[in-house]
Formats: sequence, C-alpha cells, structure tokens
Amino acid sequence: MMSASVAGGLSMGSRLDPALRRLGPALRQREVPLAALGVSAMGHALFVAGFLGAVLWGGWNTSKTYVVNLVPTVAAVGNPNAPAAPLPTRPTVPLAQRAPEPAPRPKETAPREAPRETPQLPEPSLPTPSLPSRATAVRPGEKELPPLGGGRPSVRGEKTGESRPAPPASLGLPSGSPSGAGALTLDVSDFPYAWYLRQVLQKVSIQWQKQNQVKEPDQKPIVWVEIQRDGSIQMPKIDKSSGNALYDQAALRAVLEASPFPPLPDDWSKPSLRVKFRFELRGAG
Amino acid sequence: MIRHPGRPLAILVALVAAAAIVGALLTPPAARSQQSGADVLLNVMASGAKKLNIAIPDFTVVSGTDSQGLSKRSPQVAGKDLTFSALFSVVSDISAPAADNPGALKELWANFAAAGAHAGLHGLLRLRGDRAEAEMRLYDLTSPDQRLIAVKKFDMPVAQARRLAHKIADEVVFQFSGEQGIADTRIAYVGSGSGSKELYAMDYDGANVARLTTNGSINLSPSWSPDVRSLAFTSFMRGYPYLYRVFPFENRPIQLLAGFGTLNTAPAWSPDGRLVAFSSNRDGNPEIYVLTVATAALRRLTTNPGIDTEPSWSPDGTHLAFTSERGGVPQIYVMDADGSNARRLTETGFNTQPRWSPKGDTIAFTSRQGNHDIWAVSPDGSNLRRLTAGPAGNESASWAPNGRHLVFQSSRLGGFQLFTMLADGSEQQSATRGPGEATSASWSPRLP
Repeated sequence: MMSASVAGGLSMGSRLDPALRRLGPALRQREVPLAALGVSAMGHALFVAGFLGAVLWGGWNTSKTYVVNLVPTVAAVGNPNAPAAPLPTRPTVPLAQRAPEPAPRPKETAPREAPRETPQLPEPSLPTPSLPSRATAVRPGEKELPPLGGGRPSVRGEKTGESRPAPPASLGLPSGSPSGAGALTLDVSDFPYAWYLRQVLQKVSIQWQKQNQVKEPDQKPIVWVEIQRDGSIQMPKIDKSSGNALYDQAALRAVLEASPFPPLPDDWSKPSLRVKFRFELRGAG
Repeated sequence: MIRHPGRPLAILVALVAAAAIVGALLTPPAARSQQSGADVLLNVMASGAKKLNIAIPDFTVVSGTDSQGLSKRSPQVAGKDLTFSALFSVVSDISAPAADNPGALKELWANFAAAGAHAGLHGLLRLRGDRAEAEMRLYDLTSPDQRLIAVKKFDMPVAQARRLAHKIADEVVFQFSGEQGIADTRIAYVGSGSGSKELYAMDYDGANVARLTTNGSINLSPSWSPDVRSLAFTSFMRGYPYLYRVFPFENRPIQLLAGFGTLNTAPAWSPDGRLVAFSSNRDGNPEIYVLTVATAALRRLTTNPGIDTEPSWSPDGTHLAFTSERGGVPQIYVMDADGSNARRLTETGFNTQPRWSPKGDTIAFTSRQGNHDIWAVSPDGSNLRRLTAGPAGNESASWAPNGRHLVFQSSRLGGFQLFTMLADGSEQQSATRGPGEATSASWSPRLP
C-alpha cells in the first residue's frame, strides 16, 4: 500500500507540475516496480469489488431505524386534519364544475400492470369440454409484475421522470416520539408507503388485542420480523425481551397470526422489509 | 509520457487503494448481522379492527359500447364484495371521471381524501364484442401524490361480467390484507324449492343461481372438489343413499362414486383432490373410509361399534375431524389421516358436523344444547367458543376458502335458509331467501 501511494503520488506529480521533473536524476529515473504494483492492484481491486458487492447485493445493514408511530390509525396515515369518522355517504364532489379538457389521456400503457388472462368457467348450461387447467389459476404468489429494475411506472403520466417519489411530506413531523403518545410522528423516508405500514400495524394490533395479557411488564418486548415481497414472513424473533417469557410469547404470536401481510409495494427496491414491533398494552380498550 | 508506461496503472492503483481505505473505515463491525437491522419500527398497541374507507367511482369506459351498464354495475358489485369482507367501508355511486380528462380523477381523489377516504378504486373498461376487460387501479389517498398501489387487468366474457367485479374486489382485499378475497366463489346447497331436494349453486352473494340436479329424489351434502370442477354428494336416486359426483360447468353425466352396502354419506374431498373421505355401512355399522377417486381403491379408517361419520380434512391433509358415537353420544374427534391416534375434542353436549377451517386453526361444529348452534374449537381441544346463539337453530357450517367467513343454515326466519357470518360469529346476514328451504351449504374454493 505504501509503495503504491508513493509511486502514484510521484507519477501524478510529474504530470501536473513539470517543475517536479527537476527533482534529480536518481528520483526521476527510478523504475516503477511494475510486478509488485500489479499484485497490489489486483489484491486491492478484489477487496474493493468484494466490499462493493456486499454493500450493493446483500443490502448493507446500516442499522438505520425509523420510528413510526401510527396512532390513532386514521389520523396516522391520513390527513391529520381529516375526520376519523366514516365517509359521508355522498361527499360533496364538485363533479359538475369540471371543464371538459380536450387534453388527451396519458398513454394507457402502464408498465407495472400485469395483463393477465383470467380463465373463465364455462357457462353452466353450455356443453363445454372442460375447465381450463388449474395451472392458469391466478394465485397464489402471482404478483406477476415486471421486475423492479425495469423502470418506474408511467401511469401517472406527469410523474414519469421521477426516479423515486418524494416521501409524504405532510404526514407529520420527522421528530417522532417513540412512546407513540400525542400527535402523529412519521419519518419514513426510506419506506414511504404509509398505507402499507398502516395495514401491517392494523393486522398486528388486532392480533395483539386478542392476546390475554394481565399486566404489562416494565420492559416492552421488541419483535423482529422480515416481510418478504409476497407478504409472507419467516418465524418472528424476539429482538429485545420484556423479561417476561409469557409476554414475549404473546407478542410473537400476535405477529405470527397477523401474517401474511400485504405484498410489498412494487417499487420498494429491497427484497424484503425488516420490521421491529414494540408491544405495549396501553390503548387496550 | 512514453517513458512512463506505469503511470496510468499507478494512478488506478492509487485510487483503488484510497477507495479501499475509505471503505474499510466505513464498514461497521456488524455489517452483516441480519437480525438486528430494521427498516421500520412500529409501536403496537392492542386495538380492534378498523375498516378502511374506500371510494369507488363508476368505472370509465375507454373503448366499446357499454350496453350492459357495466360502468355502474361493476363498482356496485365490487363495493358489495368489499363491504362483505368486513375490512372496508365503501362509498360508491359516484359519477365516473371522464376518460379524456386525467385531471378529473386526481380532483375526485383529492375530494375523497379530504372527506376521510384512505383508498380509491377506479376501473377502466374496454368492451369488444362479447368480451369485457377491466383494468383496476388502486390508489392510496393518504399519500400527497395519491400513490398508485396496484394495477391489474381482468378479462371475461360479458356474460360473466359480475366475475370481473369479484376479481377486482378480491385483488383489493389482497393488496390491503395480504390474504385473498372470496368474492369469486360459489356456494352449493340443497334447495327444496322444486318440491324435491335438489342441488343448487349460486355466487357467494346469491346471484346466478343454477340447479345442478333434476332427479326428483333426495340429494344431500354437496362437497366441492378442490379444483372446483365437481361436487361429491349423497343421493337416493337409486334407492339407497350412494355417493355421486356432478360436474356443474361441464356437459358430463353424473358419476357414481361409492355404492357400498346400503349407506354412503357425508363425502369430503382431501385437499389434494385425490381422495374422498365418507361414511359407509359397507362392513356393518357406519365407519369412515377413504376412496381414491382415480383408482377406486378403498381404505377403512375407523373400526368400532359406534357410528363414525362426517369426516373433514385438515387443510394439510394429515388429519381428519369426524363425528363419532363411540363414547355414547355424538362427539367431535380428530384422527391422523391413516385412522390412527383418534382423540376426542368435545366433552359435553351433542356435537356433530365438524368442519376444519382452511386456515387449519379452528374446527367449527354444530352443538345441540336446546337449540342447535355453531361452535368452534381449536384442533388441540382448546379455545372452545360459541359462534351463534340463536335465534332458532343454526347448523351445518361451511368455511369460505379464506377461513374468515362461514355459511350456515338457520331457521330464524321460519324454514331453513342460508346465512353467512365472520369466523367470530359477528356480521351475520342472510344469503338465501327461498323459495323453499336451503340447507347443507358447501362454500367453494376460489374459482380458477
């Protein structure tokens, strides 16, 4: 490493400043140790390639954790000012005042759509030879969307240029209170899919509600789980114990029974979503 | 320059070395520890189910002529499906945004978002001849840019246009819950409207009733095959109750499955569709047998002096729940699929009609304690709970393929009619309204 740096510095110097050529014949005439440099270069190249590969391919765990408190549910992901009440039966939609714009509809081709032949059952009364084979059945694991690398959907025509949509800015202050108290706190710049987290949290909260817990321990258990692209999970793990094995088990059970989760958003680039759930009883009704 | 052939190489080497040093400094010691890393941290507090508000404007016809009114009917059907799922609160009957006005939809969503909607579902219809194609677009209205969650196309003959709406609703359920919906399913049952007990099938929501048998005899206990191509059932059409198979979507004659002794009843398809478990008195008193449909090979599973009947497979095909009188009064038992390790699940009362949930975690059954009611128990005997509590009798439950819903028969309105409910007994609602009685329901798997 030393020799490489010295040699590099010299070479660069001599190119950048002709004055350096007058350093002296001994230095100027010095042979560059090509063989040693070659070995060194290959070694370093291998190391860097391996390192970059690990980062890019394996998903470097930077342990960056975003705290997401979605409480209460409606306010958490919706417009915080919107009423949590059910929809009015017929919201006042000013349909009439829409001027008919002659602008042509954006191209109908949506790359992420999955055109899919849906086999039909023959009409009950018709003499049809046979039902289409089950192999064409649509589920499970069907999510037959194009691979993620293949460009962003251009469905919203005017947004096509973006490489990644901006995180939802209006959803709350980035400085979350981890206790979940008070107003919404949401900073999901790495995973800007609030609707998805809402659904996941909803499913786990319902299951957690079903667990019979008498007393909340001082420590809150944290359960770690990895959601795959299809929404399935492996066995969740205790990331931090509450010190109460029964409580920990109930938390694990809540996550397990809440699965499967919705399929991950198509434009989430990682192969999975790693989630930590912190369980507490507060809010039990 | 020519005298220094090593220069470019040396520069490269220097850069590589620098990168390596920087990289080494940046690498945290536990960079590869998978488990402790997380993309998000969610605080979980116990809470009940909250419905998702979804707006469904009328679909927009992009091409062709909508002579059937699909642009209005499809969102209505899909909206009812989503309401039935008990996961959504639906607002529909909203004029469709014009096809040539992309701003209209955005404006519509913005208004609904302000009114509290979480999601928006829109459909684009393309009609050509007797085919109808619907492209569903699902939007997250809680994101500032009304993020598109999913796009999917479905294609059907116009005659089966309701299935387009069902498929769309099932996709919406899947996108939001990770579990598939059950709107594109049918329910078979025994109807007495014609004067005899014949088999019928209808869409899960009661539409498209079709009669499957016309033999004027007594036909009982339909059971859908897992591929949804056929139903096994019991019929007295040849005098004794034998097992038959009917193909509701094909022009094939009814097939005899089992005609042993003088009694063959309560057929149940194995989850792989190869076997039918049933009860027969072939060897004396009613015992449970398993028939391999392709080869007609028969295997006996139970051997005891009491009646054994009403088998129901676990979804993994490794166990069967069944009703047995071996303890004196009928009770629910579970055994391995080879007939070994029978154990009793219920202790008190008079319990019949076990039905193993497609999720595997629950066995629903009918218990007589005064009236008949539907109960449920875990396969290990724990978590015994009552799902219906009158009025009148409630019997013969059948699970929807998602394990969230059940169809059952109730006499609460007089004669037996079919009702549905969620697996916890909530959301009970009527599914049939005559003519005649409707009993012995079997909820189909999802249609292909």
